[in-house]
Amino acid sequence: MSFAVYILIFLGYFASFVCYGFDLVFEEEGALLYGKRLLFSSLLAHGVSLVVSVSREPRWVAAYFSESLYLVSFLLVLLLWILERRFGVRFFVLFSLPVVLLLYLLAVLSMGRQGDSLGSALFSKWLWIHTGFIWGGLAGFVAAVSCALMYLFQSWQLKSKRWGKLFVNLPSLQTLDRFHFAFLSIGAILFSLGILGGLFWAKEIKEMGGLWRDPKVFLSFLTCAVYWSVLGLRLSSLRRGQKIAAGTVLVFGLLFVTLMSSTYAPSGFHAGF
Amino acid sequence: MEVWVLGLNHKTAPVEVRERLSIPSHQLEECLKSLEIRGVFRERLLLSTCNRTEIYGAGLDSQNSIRLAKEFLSEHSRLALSDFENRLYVLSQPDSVTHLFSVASGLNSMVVGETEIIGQVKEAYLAAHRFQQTGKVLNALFQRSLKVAKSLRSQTDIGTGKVSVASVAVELAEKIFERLKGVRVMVLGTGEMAVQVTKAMISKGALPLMVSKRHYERAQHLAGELGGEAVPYEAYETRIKEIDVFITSTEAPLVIIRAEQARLWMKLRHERPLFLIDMAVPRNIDQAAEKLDNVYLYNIDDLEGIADRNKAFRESQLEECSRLIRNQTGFFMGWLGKEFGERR
Repeated sequence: MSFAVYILIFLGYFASFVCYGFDLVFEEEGALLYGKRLLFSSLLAHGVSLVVSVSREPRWVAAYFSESLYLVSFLLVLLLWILERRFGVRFFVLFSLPVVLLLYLLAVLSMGRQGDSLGSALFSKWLWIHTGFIWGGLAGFVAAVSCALMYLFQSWQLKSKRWGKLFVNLPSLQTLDRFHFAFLSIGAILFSLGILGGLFWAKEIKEMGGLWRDPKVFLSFLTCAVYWSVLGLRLSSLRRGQKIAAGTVLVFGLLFVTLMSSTYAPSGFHAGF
Repeated sequence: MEVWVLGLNHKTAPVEVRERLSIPSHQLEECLKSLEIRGVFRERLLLSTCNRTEIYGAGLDSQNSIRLAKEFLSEHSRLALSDFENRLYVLSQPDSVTHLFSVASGLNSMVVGETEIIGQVKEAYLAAHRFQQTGKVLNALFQRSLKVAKSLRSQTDIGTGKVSVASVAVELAEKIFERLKGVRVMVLGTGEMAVQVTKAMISKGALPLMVSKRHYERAQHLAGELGGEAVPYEAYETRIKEIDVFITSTEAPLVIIRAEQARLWMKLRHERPLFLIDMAVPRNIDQAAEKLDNVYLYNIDDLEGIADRNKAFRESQLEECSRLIRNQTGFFMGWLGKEFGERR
């Protein structure tokens, strides 16, 4: 697939984000319409590019790091598009698209950094179980971080008593908290299942010993543990609202470091992936 | 064919006059028939709200119709015409058309940009239509007025923001809680403003708990009236866990709820959001409480400030609204000229 196509898809998403932003701030119905069209066109092109990739090399499409990011950004936009169509939640699209854009850009930029061939691992059932759940979890965390950002923004507007047009357009704190909690739970469960899948895979290929020296494995465990702690605090009602929302945003930073660790780490089981 | 309007409103007449001229909905048919029998215009419509009573008409012998309409108003109100004639406005086209478009859009209302008037204009039109009092001109005029009102709301910000303290408080509560249905509102004190805010929240489904130290009987009476519960002052803190909105409106000369106390409440409530509304002067709640997580504190000045800013913002839209109304009047007059070959 030509590099120009990837960039065009990125620009389509970016233009869509600008249109959504314009609609939310200036309430321009025309801008919203363009935003929706651009989002759908880019999503379609994104999907077609994935199909083309599979047809050229029939195997699991998220085996490598860049491929995984490319797939997960597609799934995220698809999820946003469905939510928008079903519930008309344009504010959700607006707050999620920056994260999606970042993941997409990383995918495109790391295409040339692909590690060694996965060899027979490419055809292991554990590959899609492990990566599928991990990326599903990431999608949940991205949705949760979008809700958390909206919560913090809305809460700041209420506290500062400075209302903009966004105040009127964003949903209530309780609604955002509900969505935030739901996405955080989905993300934590899927991410944990992904880690568990990875452990079973490592056990099957007798790599359990080497696994613990991998920085990505260590960081994944840490991130997962922190996410469950945040969720535990929210569930036990010891912390709510702003602190939990801020926690989700901070832990997402850690998740990001975890994601990037294998790409740049010189050694380890995940090195280069 | 000419379009006329004759009437008075809150800008031209005091409530003592307006209430005498007001036409209740159950008398509408009778009044319209009476106007028809008298020969007041060929087509006619009555618009009567708490702020205005207006007769819209379309016909040829306009001066005679206006005289007869005034006589009707005098008989209906049992007031001598001389007692209110100077408060009446009589507008011919195109001013009458512009006036109706402004009325339907809420530009002529006491609260600029309010939406209730659209429904009232629609009801008045449907009633006149039902009683066969409208024809080609008034049908076209009133249908267009409703479209103008709708397009003004979509093309300008005339309806943006709440403009009363109570509605601002409700809007804020709706931005904290998903819906007000089932939200528990505790009111400490029985001040008029606090009761108004509580009523506005109850209209959205909230449940009130009234607390008073000095006027417990009044609290009980209000609780009964509002469908809530009266709580003795000594026991109100034990109920803090249950509530979502806390309104204070006491005459206490000092702060009665300190930030530290609010911090303890938040622990008891497992950090569930708490909306504090301090309607009292001097203030009842320590301002430092607003720094606590999940506590949203607004005092009377904050709420009035928001309402005033929204009012000013709506008023800033008036020029643009007037321009759009002038354009729409031009379109209507063009249509009228084509249909009846009348003067513009």
